[in-house]
Amino acid sequence: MDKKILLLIVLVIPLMANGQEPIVENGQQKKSAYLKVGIGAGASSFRDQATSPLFYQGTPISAFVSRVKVSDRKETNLGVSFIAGEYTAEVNEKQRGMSSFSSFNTSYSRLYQLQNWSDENWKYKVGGTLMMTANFRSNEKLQNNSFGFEGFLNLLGSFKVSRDVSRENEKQKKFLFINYTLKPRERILSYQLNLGLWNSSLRNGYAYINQSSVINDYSFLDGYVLKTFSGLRFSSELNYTLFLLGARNNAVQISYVWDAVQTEAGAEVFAMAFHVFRLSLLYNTK
Amino acid sequence: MKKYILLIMSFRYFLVFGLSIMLISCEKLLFEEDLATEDPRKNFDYLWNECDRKYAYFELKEVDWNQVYNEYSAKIYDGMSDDSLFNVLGSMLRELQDDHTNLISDFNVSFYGVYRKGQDNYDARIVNDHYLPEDFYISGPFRHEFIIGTNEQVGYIRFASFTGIIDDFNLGFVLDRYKETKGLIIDLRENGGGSVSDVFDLLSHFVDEKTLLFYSRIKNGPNHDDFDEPKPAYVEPSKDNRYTKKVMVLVDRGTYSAGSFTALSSKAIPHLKLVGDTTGGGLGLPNGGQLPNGWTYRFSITQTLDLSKSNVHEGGVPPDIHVLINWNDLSRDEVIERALEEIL
Repeated sequence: MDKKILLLIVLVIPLMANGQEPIVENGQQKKSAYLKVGIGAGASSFRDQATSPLFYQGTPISAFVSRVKVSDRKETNLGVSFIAGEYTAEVNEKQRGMSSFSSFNTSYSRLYQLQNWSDENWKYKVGGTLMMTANFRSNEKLQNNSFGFEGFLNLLGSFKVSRDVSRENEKQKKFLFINYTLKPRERILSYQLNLGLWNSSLRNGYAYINQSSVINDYSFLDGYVLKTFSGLRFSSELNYTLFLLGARNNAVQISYVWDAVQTEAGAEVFAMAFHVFRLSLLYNTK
Repeated sequence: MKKYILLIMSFRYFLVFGLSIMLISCEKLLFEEDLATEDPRKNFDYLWNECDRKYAYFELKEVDWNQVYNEYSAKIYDGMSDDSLFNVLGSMLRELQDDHTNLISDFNVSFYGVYRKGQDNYDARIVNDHYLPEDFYISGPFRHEFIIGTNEQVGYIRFASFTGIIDDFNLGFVLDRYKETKGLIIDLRENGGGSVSDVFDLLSHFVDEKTLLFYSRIKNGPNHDDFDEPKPAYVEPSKDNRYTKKVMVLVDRGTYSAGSFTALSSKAIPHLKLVGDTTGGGLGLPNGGQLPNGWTYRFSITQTLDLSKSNVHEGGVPPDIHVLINWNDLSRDEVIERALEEIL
């Protein structure tokens, strides 16, 4: 049997197993913990003005895994993700450069529910997210500046709103001449916005490359400059979570993730943005 | 009342999801304007400014970069062809007199051509036909053999390019083969450079103790004299196969970049002597960048200083013994002959 089909079956079958009750009981969420695994793809762009004034754009793929814990008081999310792809720069529709790009990201968010604002259908949460990102780039055309590395550490203020859009009753539907029944289904639509409060970056120094190889004392980060309290970062995540029928609170989630980061304004600004569509599987581990 | 409730509920949807779309669009506001353009003047200004902020040798080479701007900007006009623009920008870069400075398009590469400052001083056929047996050795980047007629007293090592593949095995084999000789000739003529790590891998076999070879300093600001403090470059002795007898290093105007680094380093090692012509220089580490029209460029952003902390050798490292080839007699390589005199 094809290995990809076998992997898909191994991943999907546990989600279909009969098990516990849905997570919402008496309008309150129970405590749940999930292992969230997913893949995605989307559009992205970056510009490193220290080496080129051109925007490089690509359609990277991404993969991630995270641990999510949800209760009626708080929600925590610890995850790692990886994005990679080939990016190109165009001038008047002519390709003028190509760069490989990969980005590793680790994040931890902790959100607390605003009890006075929240009700049975709407849940509002606030808190913070800590993000650590490392980019690796390679563009041969840039000669000795062909390799690029930058790191970001950001503390962001987070706001999340969730809307319970569950179908509570059976619905009879008809498509052309086909009658079908939609069963009650647990569904949540949520949106989380993260705004950078404390932003820092580790970037090349003024000359970009370093002279450590010339002086026979090689150091990867020689000449790199750490800047704290500078730059911008914004990110958001729009999620549609569909809990599976009769399952152990397992779910499928479709997400649109946006992340944009920029270093301190000036002649050598680095900026990047991602728009990623993700498909995740949430395994209830409680 | 019901209408108001519905209104509030609808508003919450709009607020949340409309906000998400709006903020994502704000990406264009976060990022500065797109600078991609084929406008000749913008590309000229961009290149001139990048050089102005980061090129390392304006003062040594006595280049009035503002004067260069005035002269070359007058040659820029709207609608000029890519070829014409390339010629103007390439000529502007040639004012820096630096073969580590190039403009690269998909149809041309600009260069300075420092080798023209001196006569041609090397011909492989003269060496192969008159000084080496037919079955010379090839070990890694080295072509080598005992020089004919020296009774195996002198080894000749041709090192044509710093390819980054020197290792203890190939160089160890070479030096072990010639360990009983009176001296070695290492021929770096017309060696355009390459991997600087080879400089230290090579010289580590010619020192018995940690040796200071030169200093290097890097641009750290936009003024022409904004540099970091000079940092020393040392070489540590290799564990095996060290050669400490006479070594004649042959150089000429085609000896460039890593070749010049080796030549400069030779000045710090007493039993190494430079024979031939002044090297081409190229002691600045080149960077890399891209113009708004997609062309790429590079230029020097460091200075290499000798042991007295002078940067003057960017113009070329002078030989200890100056010898030029007489092209009227193709049966002799005068540079090798002079080196042999020093050894034997």
